[in-house]
Amino acid sequence: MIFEVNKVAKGFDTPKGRLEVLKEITFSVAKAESVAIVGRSGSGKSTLLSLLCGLERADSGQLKFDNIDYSTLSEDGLTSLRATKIGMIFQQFHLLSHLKAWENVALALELKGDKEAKDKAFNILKEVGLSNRENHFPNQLSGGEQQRVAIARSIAINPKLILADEPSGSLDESTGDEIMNLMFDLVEKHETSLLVVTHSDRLAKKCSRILTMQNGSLVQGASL
Amino acid sequence: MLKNLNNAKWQSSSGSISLILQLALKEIRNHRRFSFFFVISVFFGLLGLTGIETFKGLVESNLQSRSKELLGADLEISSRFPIKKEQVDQVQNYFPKSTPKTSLSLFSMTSFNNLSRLIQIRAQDDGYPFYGVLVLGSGAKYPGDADRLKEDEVWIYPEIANQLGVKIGDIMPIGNSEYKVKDIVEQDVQQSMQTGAIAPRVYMSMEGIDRGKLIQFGSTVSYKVGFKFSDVQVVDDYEDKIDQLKKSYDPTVRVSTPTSEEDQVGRTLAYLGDFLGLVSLVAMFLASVGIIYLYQAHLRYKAYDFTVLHAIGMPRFSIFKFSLIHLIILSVVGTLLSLLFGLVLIPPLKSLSASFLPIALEDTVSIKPFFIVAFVGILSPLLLAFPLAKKAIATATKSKLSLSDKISWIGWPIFFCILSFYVAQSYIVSGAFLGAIILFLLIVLPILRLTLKFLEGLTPKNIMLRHTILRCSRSWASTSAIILSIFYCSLVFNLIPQLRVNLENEISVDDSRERPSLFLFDIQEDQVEGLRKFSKENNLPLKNMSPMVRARLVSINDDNYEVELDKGLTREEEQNARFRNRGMNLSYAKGLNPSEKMLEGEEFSGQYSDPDFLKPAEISIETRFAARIGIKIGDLLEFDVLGMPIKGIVKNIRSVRWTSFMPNFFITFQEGFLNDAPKTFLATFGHLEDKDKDQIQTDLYKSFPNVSAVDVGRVVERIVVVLGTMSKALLLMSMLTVVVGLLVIGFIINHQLLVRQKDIALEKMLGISKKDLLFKVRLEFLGIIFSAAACGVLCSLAMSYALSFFLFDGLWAFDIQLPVISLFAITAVGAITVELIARKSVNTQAAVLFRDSD
Repeated sequence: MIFEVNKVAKGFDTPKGRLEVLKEITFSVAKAESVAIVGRSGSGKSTLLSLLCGLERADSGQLKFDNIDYSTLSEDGLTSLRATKIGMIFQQFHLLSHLKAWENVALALELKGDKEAKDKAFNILKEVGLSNRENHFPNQLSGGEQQRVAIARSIAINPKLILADEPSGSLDESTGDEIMNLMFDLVEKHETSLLVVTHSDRLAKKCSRILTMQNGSLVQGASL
Repeated sequence: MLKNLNNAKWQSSSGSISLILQLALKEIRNHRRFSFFFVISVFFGLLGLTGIETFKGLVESNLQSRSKELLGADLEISSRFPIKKEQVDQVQNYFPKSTPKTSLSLFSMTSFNNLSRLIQIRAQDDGYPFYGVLVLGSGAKYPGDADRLKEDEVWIYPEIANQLGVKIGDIMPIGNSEYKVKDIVEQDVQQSMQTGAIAPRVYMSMEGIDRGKLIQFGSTVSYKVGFKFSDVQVVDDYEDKIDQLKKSYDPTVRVSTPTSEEDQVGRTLAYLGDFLGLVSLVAMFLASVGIIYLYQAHLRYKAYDFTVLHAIGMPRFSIFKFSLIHLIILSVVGTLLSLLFGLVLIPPLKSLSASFLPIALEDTVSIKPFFIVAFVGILSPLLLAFPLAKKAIATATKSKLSLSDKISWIGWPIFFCILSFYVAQSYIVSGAFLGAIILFLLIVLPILRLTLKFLEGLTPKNIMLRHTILRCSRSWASTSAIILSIFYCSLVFNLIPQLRVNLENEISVDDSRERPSLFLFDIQEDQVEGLRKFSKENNLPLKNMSPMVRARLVSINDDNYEVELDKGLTREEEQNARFRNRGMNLSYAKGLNPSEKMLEGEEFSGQYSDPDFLKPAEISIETRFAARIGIKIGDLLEFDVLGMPIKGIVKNIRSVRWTSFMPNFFITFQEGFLNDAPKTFLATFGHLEDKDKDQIQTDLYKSFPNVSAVDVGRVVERIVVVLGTMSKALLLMSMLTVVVGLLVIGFIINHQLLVRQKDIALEKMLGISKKDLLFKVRLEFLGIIFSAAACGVLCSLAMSYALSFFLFDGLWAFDIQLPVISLFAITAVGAITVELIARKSVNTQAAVLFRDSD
């Protein structure tokens, strides 16, 4: 297993009392597997993603990435994990506006200490179909192109797992399909595990397994 | 229906105004941070101007209400020459129901307890001045219950009592006679602030002047005749008559009214007020930079709202009105706060006025400053915001800008230029001020931009450094706003003390041994040899014995030389007019003295040789004097010397180092032409030890009681004290400018880090540690602050060098401490600002990135 989540719980204190967002979630993701998590707004998907990428700590339970227990990692350790082993793709793309396309991709590589970051960035952008857009800023790219850059950034570090948060949510249907096909192709090519959080059944059905979040709990779905 | 639709107005006008007002108030409530920052920017930007205008208003109203007391009469004519009966009659031709009374003042020497001092003697007809009283130590008032001074009695200023140890009843020698000290003057509304500290005043009767034979040939006497009108309350209302009266006199007679006296008395303070006003405008400029940045950022956020409003049927003009009303409300709040808090600047400004005014300022309410500040406070932000709002609304509603909208950006710069002129009351000063702002803008920003591009090209290996440079370079709007704020803060904060150091250095001279200790004047021609002998016997360094001939300039190249003194003159025009209308002191010499340097022309061709005195003599003119009255090489000048016309041709133009305290003249004739003219002499004693100076002055007085001696050291001390007072005031104002600058950068940095929250979250997500993020933020903003502060310091040094070169003809004094302290002080305060904001922002939860999906 590349990722194991065992009875993970997370809650927040609110003025109206304690709110338990995640209630003893348990699941795992195998190497090169694609898993979709579906659920309504407010079901705890964002909180789960925050825990999976080490941005927040669980109240209880165990999170393991490639057999490394998160609880044994310091802040710097979790930071390093994200820099080297986990790629992220967001609904709103989240590119740095002051960096060109190739610089956004190269940043991820530079943080990993890669000395050939620029060349690799150009190659990966070619791979995602942006070979003549490397020197454009995000505001000069369409939504689909920005998401391609984001995908390139996530795949550039050769991660073991990619977390995608509603990756086609800001794209129209045809562009979304195109981008998602690209994402799945790359994930397959690089043998990367993929965990997608989405509202879209169409996207969820592209994954090999679907999990459903309901009121902070996971309902196991079918493997496809 | 189509016609109805096309002609329909959007609700009734009263309904729409009410709705717009509601929207504007909601806007303020919903965007508290922006509203707060905007109000604070207006408040601090205006604070200095409010303080200055309120203070100016206070001074003006105080001087105005006591203007008759300051003059002592309804009208006064004065001259350096005795006033003739026909000149007095001239006034009575225009104002028949008038009573004239005479007064005069001159310098002389007194001695007591083996100490001697220069004094200013004032004598007047009984019952004069008509307005204002002298309050004496005994409690008596003059005019009033004080006994008339007899011919052998005097009233003295307290400084004489303190310095010489004189008491009431003591006998004091003045000139060749002795006088009994009748009383001490406690309050004198007509005291001269310029000469008071150097030559304290002594009052005596006119008979006393005659008794002591104090007026001798060549004495520098100021003759005055004051008039009281029984049928005129405010003589300044009779402008035409006053103008005609002025024109009827030659330029050596000055006509003063209570208004002109009020201007005269308040002049030095007015100059200081002008410069303080300019420094306060720098604060306003910086606040405007902040307002532009904030409002632009706010409009980017509002673009969506504008689109929605327009989509649901709100006309563009109504959207614009709503934006304007929103800003007007905020501007009014900021302005009101500024008006209220500007009053806190009044007490320190009042305390500095004590050095410049003969009256204590009473708290009075003046309405003019209120209107000026309100006008500026509301109009300035609107002029800044107008073009930004128009553009944002046009973009959001997909419409085109009209030509007037496109050029509306020019509104604020024009407004600022007009305001600068109003504050400085001078085209030259306001032009130089604006020119400096624009010049530095055009130099500093491109240089720093190019530097960043160059650094970008170097591609440093350190990722954080490289990305910091990229961020600075590619977020040029915020980078340049921070640069401008810190640059101008640093420039002003360093320039003022630097100028003070230059001025003090100029006055104090590198080695005080070069500077004379005593400056002598009123030396009669027949005393010159005696004085030389006295000096030799006492081993005293008598130097620079220079003849002085009183004259007046009649024509230049046969054109009459007269200038009308009108109201509404700029500072330069006023100075020029006053300058031209004075009598002149001529001298003659073989060539230049050590404090002079020839700039144009040639040396004198030796001694004047025409035995019939038909050929004009050669003359040398001081360069600023030449510029002021428009003289060049070869011009023919005609003078009147005691009724005798004489002519001179300009042979050379020279510069004079006036701070050498040597006898120097605007006009010097070649040797041999004026040698037989009636004259007095000036001279100096070189360096004397302080312990010997008093004795020497006393011995000099005993041998030559009519020769006046000015203690140059005291003059320098007095100037240094005045400079110090002025510089403190300017520094106070410049500190306000620094506060504004730091506030603006605080707003900008706070805003920048707010909009970068998601970027910071993303960088955390990608694997940049909090420590590295903090390093990046610190490096970015501190780098900009330090670079801008360093540029400000360098430019202030360049500016002080240029000013000392062009204005003071002096050597530039460089004090390393000042720039280093101001550079590090500004950077340190900037660092604290950055630290407070940055620590909070790097704690942004990266989970914000996921919030879009829920």
